[in-house]
Amino acid sequence: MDETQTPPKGRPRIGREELWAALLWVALTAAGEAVLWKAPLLPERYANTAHIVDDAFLVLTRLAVPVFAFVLTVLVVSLLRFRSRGEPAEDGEPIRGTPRTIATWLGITGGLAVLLIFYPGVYGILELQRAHSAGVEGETEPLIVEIEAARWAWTVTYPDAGVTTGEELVLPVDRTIRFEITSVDVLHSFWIPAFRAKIDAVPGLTTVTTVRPERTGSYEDDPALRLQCAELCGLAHSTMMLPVRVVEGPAFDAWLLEQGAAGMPTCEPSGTELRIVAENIAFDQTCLAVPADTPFTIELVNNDAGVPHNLSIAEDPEWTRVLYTGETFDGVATRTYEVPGLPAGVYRFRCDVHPIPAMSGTFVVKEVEGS
Amino acid sequence: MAILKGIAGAVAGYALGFAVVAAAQLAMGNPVGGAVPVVIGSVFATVGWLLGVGLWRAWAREWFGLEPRLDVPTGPGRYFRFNTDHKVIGVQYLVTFVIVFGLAGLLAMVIRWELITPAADLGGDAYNQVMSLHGILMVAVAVAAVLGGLGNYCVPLMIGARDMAFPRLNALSYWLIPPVAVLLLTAPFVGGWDSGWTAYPPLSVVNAGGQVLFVVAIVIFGLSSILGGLNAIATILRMRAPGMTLMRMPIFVWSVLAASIISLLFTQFFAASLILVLLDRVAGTTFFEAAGGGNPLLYQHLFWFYSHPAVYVMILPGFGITLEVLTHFSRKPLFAYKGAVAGFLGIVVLSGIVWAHHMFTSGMAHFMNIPFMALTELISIPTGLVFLSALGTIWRGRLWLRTPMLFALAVLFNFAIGGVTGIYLADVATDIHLQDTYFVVAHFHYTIVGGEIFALMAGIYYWYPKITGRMYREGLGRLHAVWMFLAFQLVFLPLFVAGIHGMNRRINEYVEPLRGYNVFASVAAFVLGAVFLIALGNLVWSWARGRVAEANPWRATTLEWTTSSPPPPHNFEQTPEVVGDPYPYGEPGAVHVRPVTVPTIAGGSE
Repeated sequence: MDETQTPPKGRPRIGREELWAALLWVALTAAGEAVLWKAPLLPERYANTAHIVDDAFLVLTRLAVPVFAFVLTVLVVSLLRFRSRGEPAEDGEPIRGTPRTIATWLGITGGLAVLLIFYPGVYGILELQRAHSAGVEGETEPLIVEIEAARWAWTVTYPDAGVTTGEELVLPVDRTIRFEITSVDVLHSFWIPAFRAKIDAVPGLTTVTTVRPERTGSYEDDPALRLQCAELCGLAHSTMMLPVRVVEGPAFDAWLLEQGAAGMPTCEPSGTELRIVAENIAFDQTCLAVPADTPFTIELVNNDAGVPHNLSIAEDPEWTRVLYTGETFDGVATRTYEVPGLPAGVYRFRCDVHPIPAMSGTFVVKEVEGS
Repeated sequence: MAILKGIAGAVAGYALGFAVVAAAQLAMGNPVGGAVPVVIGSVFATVGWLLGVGLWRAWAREWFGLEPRLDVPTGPGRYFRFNTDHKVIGVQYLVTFVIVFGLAGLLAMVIRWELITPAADLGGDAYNQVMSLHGILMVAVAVAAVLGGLGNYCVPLMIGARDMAFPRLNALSYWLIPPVAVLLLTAPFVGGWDSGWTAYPPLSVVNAGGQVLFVVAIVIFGLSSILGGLNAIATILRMRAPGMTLMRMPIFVWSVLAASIISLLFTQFFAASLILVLLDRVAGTTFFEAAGGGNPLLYQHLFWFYSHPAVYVMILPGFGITLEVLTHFSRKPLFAYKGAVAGFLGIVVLSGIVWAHHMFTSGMAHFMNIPFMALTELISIPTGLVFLSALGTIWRGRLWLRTPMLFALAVLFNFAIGGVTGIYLADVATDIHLQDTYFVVAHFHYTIVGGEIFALMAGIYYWYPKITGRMYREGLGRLHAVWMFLAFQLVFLPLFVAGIHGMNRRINEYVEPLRGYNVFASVAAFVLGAVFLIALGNLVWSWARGRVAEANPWRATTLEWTTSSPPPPHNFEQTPEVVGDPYPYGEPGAVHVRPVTVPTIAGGSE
């Protein structure tokens, strides 16, 4: 600490304290990064959007560690090495910093700011846009779910099924869901922490956010799976919450049916021998039903001369999880498919050659009393 | 006496305003009552209050050809009247806002008490009112305590002026504050308001009648801020002592100049947006009502166009105090002085073009996300210059760890956390999750409390001997600094985590897994609250009984320390002549102000 000669004004100089500070900075940074390696900073992720948000969060935290460590280092070393006991008898060195010091600092902080803007900044925005544009392979249309906020309740409508509920928000896993959100009175905000999805509900405006749930789960298991109002809306703002449940596709369809889905045909199982007729590029039935976990047969009568038909069963409307595919054959002919038992759920069937509404339907697999 | 006259004027004004509107309502065959007579009554009451409290005597008389009566009283009575001495006004601001800070702090204790358990203990409406009142009172403290208090007291002294440029305007700015406090504190008796300090419509258009009083209060407060900003700018640009070039000004003066520019340029947008809310409420307009062709998002743009710059009105003087204290207590010249000034001015420029980063999840057009994110993150560059100056100043200094220095060092630690967490809220992807959560709450408490309020404490202890002429108890001051620093970390660090894990803002009930963070933060908050009792005891007791302070107990170099403690009414016995840099530490022979050779006896120059 004893200076025998005063260095030229403003010239930075490397002394013992600078070396100590450099060491401490590296050590604090390394320690911080090491803690980040394993620390469970964020809640569980249940959707594609959550990965994008959490990746950005981790990048920012990794960059924040050396910045904060730098400030901490200067404070700690100054307090340890430059503290004066009692009133200082002499002044410190008049180091004022040179234009070069300022320029170097500006270069570093400016570079860091530009880095942040592009990564994770712009990168994250583009990733979210990609996730929102629902370009998942094999998927045609996202499932539309309308959300209406009112003081102090959420109303959920599945317009394709004609189902409306205010009890819970049930979503199928691995399907892209497009939420169309509005409010009837004041501002609210649609927030599902487990999805890292948030957008305000604004009167007179429909706001949209798109997510693709990736895991099943429910509010009972993880309270981050809830639709929470995040914009102050008055008296019961705190409790303006709806439990969220993410289920497998068939369970989702089964739930829709239970809710009295309009336009979605339903039927009850009666035996294990089904018969269906294809004629004029249309099936004669829109719903088939069998008991759960019991092998069954389907007799497909193809009355369209020279036209190929078949019947296949899948869990999801995009036909990505196919349960059974019957052989395709030209009419006029009849084949009988032997299908192994299926677990309970609501599935879909269609003719793979003609996947049109007239050749599609609901396939109900149900537990039957006494079976 | 003056205050009694003011109250009489307020009552008479309210009666007159109410009567005029009621008469008009009767004449038009409408039922008497509603919000309009209250609004007009409040405005008339404010005018009546001002006239009664001294505006008539000291100023308005001359508009009618009469002689104004500007007496200069001494003794404690001078604080309770319309007084144009900037030092009196500075103390009026400081004491007023210490009281407001105490009230708002008690409300914070109520909030933390409610949040100990996940269930509701207070009703939802009562909680929302408590939270809203806490918010706006603390915002008022943050806007006006440093600028109005320390800015008023210290800036003329630090630039060698005898007073502010417009002393009567200065007094007017202060006496506008009591009506603001009365309006905000009476709001709960007419149903309060539950829309937070942000008052977003449509909620603020349809909620209880207290919202109207809030609107009137904020418009008056805004007027006070604008006049104060105008006065500070004129003072700093026109009233400097000979030789006090801009680049010889103490850094605190620069920070007040920067903050005042923002106050002057942007405050009216808050007032305008609230007046539109008022018109939607009482005049049937539909600026923010979608069904009538309005747009609720419009309010948010107007509101944040002021309220984002406002956070720099709060923090810039905080930075100024911090750098001021760091340089004197490191006994080193301020490092990179020009860099710090450039940082302040850079913040002023950027502050006006970043507002929509509060609106990434509001439903505004997506194309605005990238520019507002980029501009917001650029603010880290001028802020970085302030940090360069601060860290460079303490490095290799002779750190004298008295109370002001402890608070100033704490500002660096706290604001590092507050600044770094701000990036998460500027980044669109992370903000989508974190917006409107306790992460935001923790972030702005780290910047505004951890930054500005800690700096305010540094400033109060630093200038305490100058203002009161007495020394506070150093041991209790250091206890305050260390206690407040530790307790503050314990309150707000867990709240970052609570926010990340799904605790949204402005709620009185929450899901069970968040209980642990809240119990911890609440207990720590009570510990934090308790320290202010010690601080208040120290400051009040020392004012009456403390050791008499010398003119310059810190051996600091700036102008306010060259005059007596407290300074005479006219500040300096002779006009100081500035000849050099404000912080000539370690440079033998260099001085900021030419030494006064012939000391004169105080007093009698009126």
